[in-house]
Amino acid sequence: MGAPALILFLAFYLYPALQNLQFATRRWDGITEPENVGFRNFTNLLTNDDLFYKTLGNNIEFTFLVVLFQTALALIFAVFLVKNTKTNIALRTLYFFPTILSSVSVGMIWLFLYDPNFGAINLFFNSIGLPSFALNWLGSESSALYAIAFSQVWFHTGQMMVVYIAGLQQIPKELYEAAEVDGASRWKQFTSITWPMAMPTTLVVMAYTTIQSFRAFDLIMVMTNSTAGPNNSTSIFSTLVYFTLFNELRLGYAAAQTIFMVATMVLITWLQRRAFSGRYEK
Amino acid sequence: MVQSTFFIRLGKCEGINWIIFDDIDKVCRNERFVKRNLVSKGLTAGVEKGRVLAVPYHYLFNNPVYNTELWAKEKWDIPKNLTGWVAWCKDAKAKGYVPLAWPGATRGQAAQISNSALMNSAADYDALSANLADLNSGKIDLTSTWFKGVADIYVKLRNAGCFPDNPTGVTEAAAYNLFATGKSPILPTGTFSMGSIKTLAPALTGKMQLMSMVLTDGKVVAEGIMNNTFNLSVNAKSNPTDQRIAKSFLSYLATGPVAAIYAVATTQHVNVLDVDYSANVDLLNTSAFQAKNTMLAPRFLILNTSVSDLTQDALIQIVGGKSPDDVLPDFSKQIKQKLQG
Repeated sequence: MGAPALILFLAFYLYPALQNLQFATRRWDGITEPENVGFRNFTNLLTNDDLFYKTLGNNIEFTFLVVLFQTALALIFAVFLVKNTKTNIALRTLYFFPTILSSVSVGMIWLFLYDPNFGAINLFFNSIGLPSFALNWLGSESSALYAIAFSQVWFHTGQMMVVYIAGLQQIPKELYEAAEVDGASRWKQFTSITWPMAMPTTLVVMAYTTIQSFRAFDLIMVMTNSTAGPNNSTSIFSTLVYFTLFNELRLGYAAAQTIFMVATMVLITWLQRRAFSGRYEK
Repeated sequence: MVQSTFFIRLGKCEGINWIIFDDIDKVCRNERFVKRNLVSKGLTAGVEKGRVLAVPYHYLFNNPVYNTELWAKEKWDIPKNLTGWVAWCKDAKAKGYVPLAWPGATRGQAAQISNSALMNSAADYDALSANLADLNSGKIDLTSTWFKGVADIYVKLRNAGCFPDNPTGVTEAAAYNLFATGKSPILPTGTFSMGSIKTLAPALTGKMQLMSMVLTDGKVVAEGIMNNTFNLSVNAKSNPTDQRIAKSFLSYLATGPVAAIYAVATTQHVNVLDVDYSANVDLLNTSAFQAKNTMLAPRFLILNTSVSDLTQDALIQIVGGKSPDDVLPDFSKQIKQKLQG
């Protein structure tokens, strides 16, 4: 019964993963004969590649910002829109709307909004007499990563809000009724009932958002005109691997980078679960 | 099959095994259409070590495009040297223009101006090629005296106000907008941008021209940039009949009337003699540049993509306001690591 699924798993998951491990020990441009270099790709990544460490730092910072704000905003929206009233349903639709757009469209929209000389954001700041807030958003090393993180949060918060609403609607109403009888404030109800009861959903949202933030490739490529930002300030693992593979034709090195990418993703997800699972179990 | 015999490839021809053409003298002797119908200077991009690997069909000019109406209105003359450019930028900026609609956020387009900066940066083309080859191999880096001179051109242009505000954030679309709306008198990209500009501003039809951008006060090696792409060749492993058919097709493409159809449809010049560009007034107006002392785009002589990208990124950072003293060592280190990887 399970044979077809096993075959699919072996063919499309295990085999490519093992082959990637094999590629990571080679120097290969994809055209000429590959050369076996042992662990040199790994040692080079760790000892002689500043861009790798910059990318690692960017990726962690980007993931942290996106997970923090996307999870928090999604939860806040969900708490306020959990009841199935007509207004709430309309607002949920509105907040969910960016999710149905293609990432390229979202990237283009934000690229125009962030334009330093013509963009709506800077025009707004200039019009209200705050020109110091009108930045070179995507053209500056210091702001590009944050600008894209904001777009990423805008893009996916609605989706996570829906996940939270589904989770919050599973919390028994009796708990809130009992709390109200005991005179608990709204904030007390949130901290004592909603937050702990929503912890399983939070773990799912955070894990999914983490993976999403590692996959922000398309948004970054569109918003930085396929350059990974000024001086690689928006380089994350997915863009790094892409440029190594397709610009530099270094398949082996790119394979080694993907291993670190997966390891980082697994480590972050594990740390999140470790940090929150204790509370969940209580 | 002709389809498998004949192929079109963008860019240069390194690494191609499908050679049927021979050394350039033999090609000109044996393939009559090459000698009779093609612009001999435009063959360079398809030649490797004296052998013709392919014949380029496109003929691009990676030179600044200017708005002739604005230039006439302001009574400007095209600057003859770097000092002239610095003075012109100051004048244009004082008059409220963005002197160069430079798209610093789009590396490929931002890099076009580097051709002009490189073109007269060495004593001659061979010296420039040697410098670029050394940069490509890591023999020299961006802190070399020669490249510091190139970076200094950017500093002078930057300090003269040649570039837009927030230059590193200006996208291609924004730069085109600056030029199309008349806010900027120069689009420093190339002839390939003219089609898009006319879509944005049909009124600019017939009002665009190419200019030399001589960014030196010393010896002028070349007055403009050309690039020849869409290299056509024939598969040497195909059967002789197919090869003859493919060659016949190439010679057919290399006839003036056929090339004219291609040129007008693609809004590009072609590497073919006696082409009637009159169906596209801007191609017609700018075609005279083929007779100028132009140089094959030097930035493409940096063959390693990482080295090329990092070199351009360093120059973009300088335009963005950073000091070459900070940028050049930093990017040299990045290049070194890429070459060692």
